Amino acid sequence: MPLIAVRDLDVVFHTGASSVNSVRGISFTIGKSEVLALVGESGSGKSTTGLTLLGLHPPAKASVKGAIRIRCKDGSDLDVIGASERRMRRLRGNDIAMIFQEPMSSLNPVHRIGYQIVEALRTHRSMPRSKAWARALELLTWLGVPSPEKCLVSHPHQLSGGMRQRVMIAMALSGEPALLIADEPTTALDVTIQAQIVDMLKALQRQTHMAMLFVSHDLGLVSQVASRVLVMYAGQIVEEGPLPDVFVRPRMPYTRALMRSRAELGAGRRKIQPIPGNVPNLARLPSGCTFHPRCPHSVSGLCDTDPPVLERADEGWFVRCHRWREIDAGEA
Amino acid sequence: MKKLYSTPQGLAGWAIVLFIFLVVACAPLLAPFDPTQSSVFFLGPPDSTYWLGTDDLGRDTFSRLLYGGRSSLVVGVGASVIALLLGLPIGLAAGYMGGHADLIARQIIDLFVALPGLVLGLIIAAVMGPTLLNLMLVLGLVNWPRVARLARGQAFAIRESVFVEAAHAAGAGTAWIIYAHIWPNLRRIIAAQFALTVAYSIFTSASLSFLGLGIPPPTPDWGAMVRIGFDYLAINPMMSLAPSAAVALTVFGFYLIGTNIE
Amino acid sequence: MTTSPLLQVQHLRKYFYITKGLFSRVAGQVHAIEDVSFDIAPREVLGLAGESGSGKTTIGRAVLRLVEATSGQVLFDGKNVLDFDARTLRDFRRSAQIIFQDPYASIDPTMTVADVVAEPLRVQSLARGSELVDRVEKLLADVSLSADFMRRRPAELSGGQRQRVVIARALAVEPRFIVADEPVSALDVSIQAQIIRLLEDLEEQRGFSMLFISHDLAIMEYLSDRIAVVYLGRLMEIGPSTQVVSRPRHPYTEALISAVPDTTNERKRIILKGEVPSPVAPPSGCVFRTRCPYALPACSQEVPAMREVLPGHWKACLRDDVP
Repeated sequence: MPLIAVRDLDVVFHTGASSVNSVRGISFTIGKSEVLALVGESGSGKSTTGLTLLGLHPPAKASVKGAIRIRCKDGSDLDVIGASERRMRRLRGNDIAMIFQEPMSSLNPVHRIGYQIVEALRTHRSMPRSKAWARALELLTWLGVPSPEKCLVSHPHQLSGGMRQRVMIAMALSGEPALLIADEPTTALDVTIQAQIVDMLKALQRQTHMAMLFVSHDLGLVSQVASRVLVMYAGQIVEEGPLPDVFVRPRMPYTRALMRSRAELGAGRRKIQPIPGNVPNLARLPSGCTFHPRCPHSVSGLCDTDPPVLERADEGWFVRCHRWREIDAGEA
Repeated sequence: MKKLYSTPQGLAGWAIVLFIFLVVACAPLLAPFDPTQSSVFFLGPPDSTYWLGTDDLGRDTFSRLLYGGRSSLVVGVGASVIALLLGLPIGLAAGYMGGHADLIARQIIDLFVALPGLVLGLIIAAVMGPTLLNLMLVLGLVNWPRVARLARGQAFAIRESVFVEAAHAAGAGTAWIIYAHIWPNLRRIIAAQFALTVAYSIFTSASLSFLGLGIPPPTPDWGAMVRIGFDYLAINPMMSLAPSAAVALTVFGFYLIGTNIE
Repeated sequence: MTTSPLLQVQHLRKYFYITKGLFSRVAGQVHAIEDVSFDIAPREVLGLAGESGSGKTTIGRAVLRLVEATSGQVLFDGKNVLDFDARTLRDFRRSAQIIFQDPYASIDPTMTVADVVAEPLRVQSLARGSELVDRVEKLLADVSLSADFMRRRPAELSGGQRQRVVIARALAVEPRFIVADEPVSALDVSIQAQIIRLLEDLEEQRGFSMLFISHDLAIMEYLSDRIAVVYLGRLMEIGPSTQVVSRPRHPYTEALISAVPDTTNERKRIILKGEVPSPVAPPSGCVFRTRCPYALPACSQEVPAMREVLPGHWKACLRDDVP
């Protein structure tokens, strides 16, 4: 019984005159201790998916369809879509928590760190202030914050980016969630700090057996953290499979193009090949396969007319492409 | 090609302002009565003879409206121009050059802000006589700090921007940067402020008239008309409403122009 | 080096002074750049790698004199840029240009694309009238933007398109040297690839030298002939790109490279402890010693000088046996 089962999730944003179908019928599951990566570029719908799992889109702005079933800690099953705001508030922080790219957006600049963590702790569990304070100290120490006592009495702006991110993680963990959604958590950080945070998240995951949904555009980063990846393009999942296999031998042309357009250390004189064209305008999607205008393997009469479905290519590996077999064979 | 208006609203603004100017300039041709001519029909409602009714001395409000615009507009626009001519260069220089020039400029600006406009006006009127020119000068002096502060703030902000650094990297000097970067980013705000200063000046001159300086009666001006009309608001609202509407329309016209200049 | 270098940076220093109090008393100084020296040959791309606070951005600005250095020399064609008077400086700016990181901030929103690209030509009085228009059109074509972009405003362009405009602007005066300060960091991943290829092709075609500043080592290795690694304002290592990346000679470089995520998961990971020290009070001796896994007591005593450990490959470290 997976922790989360998403079926045919569809999110449409209403912006004034137009509507944008940001997420178009995606389905996936996250197991109890699994680390799943969700990758894609801007406009792929990956961040929207993460936010929708927590019901963070105001109903006036977004129509959400489909089913998101969560196995809660108390044993009950909940469908996020259609759940009351009250029920969702109990869910957030307790069963699912989220950390974002910019920690400053979740931290109140006016209050000290200790105060904020304590408030987060006491929201999820009633405990006396002193106990909450001790727990906050524990959390920060466990997360590798240098001089945690000093950190507790500091204000957010007095801390470095890496420390603030750790604080945000501490606050996210305060409710002991079963699933942590991380949306580009290290994009704003230096590479060496990023390595520290990623290492810490991995250790965390090993100890707590928490599930993680890691949303990012950084393919290398997710390879280090996750065991499975969903590649999104224009609101759909176009490839799903185990890591690092999907990146080593991608089957979907978009994933392949993505890998070829990246510079990798030690790659020698291989020329990077940018993907021609632009990410499609979600309000005006190409006919057939949404990737076909930019795909080197596109075949007229097929790719530009029939939208492909997700086909099983291997154990736990799915590809959304008409021609994946030929492309795969061409490689071998 | 610099466009004087970029949108229909801008065009409308010009239309309004030009219309008002034209009407007011042709007051002698359009006004049915002598604006200073009193009659026994005082506080009369609008009718076929007196289109907007009469005031407390039986004078035709419509004629007074037409003639009143002359002095009001001259003072209003004149004061704004003086404020602009003083405030813009000082503010620009202070904001762009910073350092000591800015320090001195700021003190001068603060000094003028601290001066009470009405008191200054009274003093000047008492000493030099209540003429239109003096009125314009006073109001210009009262309003230039506002313009200067705006210009200074913007110049300061733009100076720090990356595209100005890029211009430096291309070898640009101060003159080019002010011409190509600071002024275009400043235009709209200054123009909007100009419109507001026109309104402020017209109404302040009314207060000054009330206190005895400013345009002496019986010469009509919009500000004074509004003031005097207050006392008769319940009986003959048109006395205040007509000039108020005229001022509002004028300001609106300038505002539309200002905020729609390319 | 057989040909004489185009650019020689020698013992460059930049301190920012922190003033406190009513009378602007100097309370401390930020050691942004500390004794940095390097050369760039004609047609060479030198990558400047470092994290935030390393001073790499300041180095780029100081070399072009967009920021006044505290001391040192920057020799361009053998003449010291830091000594130039206003007129010579203006002429220098025809030979040296900069590409900024943020495509949204580096273009004046009130200008058209044509104005933006034409600006350097107008400022330097290099072209007028129809000749100016022609040159702008050609420059836009060089960055793969069609002529109908000329009348557009920055607000109508995407990030990638804006960055192309910025590149066109930098190329307008046909410079011999370009400082590229994180030119792709603010862009989407797929657009980054396009701009990187554009820079690569332009560099090959036009033959300018480049100081490529970035925190992305993979892109840097791809574009650069040599890489210089900076930490807290000091140069740690400098050498040929592939060598620095495959066999780093300085502990910091080693850690930096191991921290770069890669999809094959093969590299050994070194996690540095702690954070970057404050540039106001840099550690004595080797500034990296507080986080260096191989630090010795001697490392706090003296500032290690740059030593040539292999031909053309230098490092600033007391130890020879690590990494």
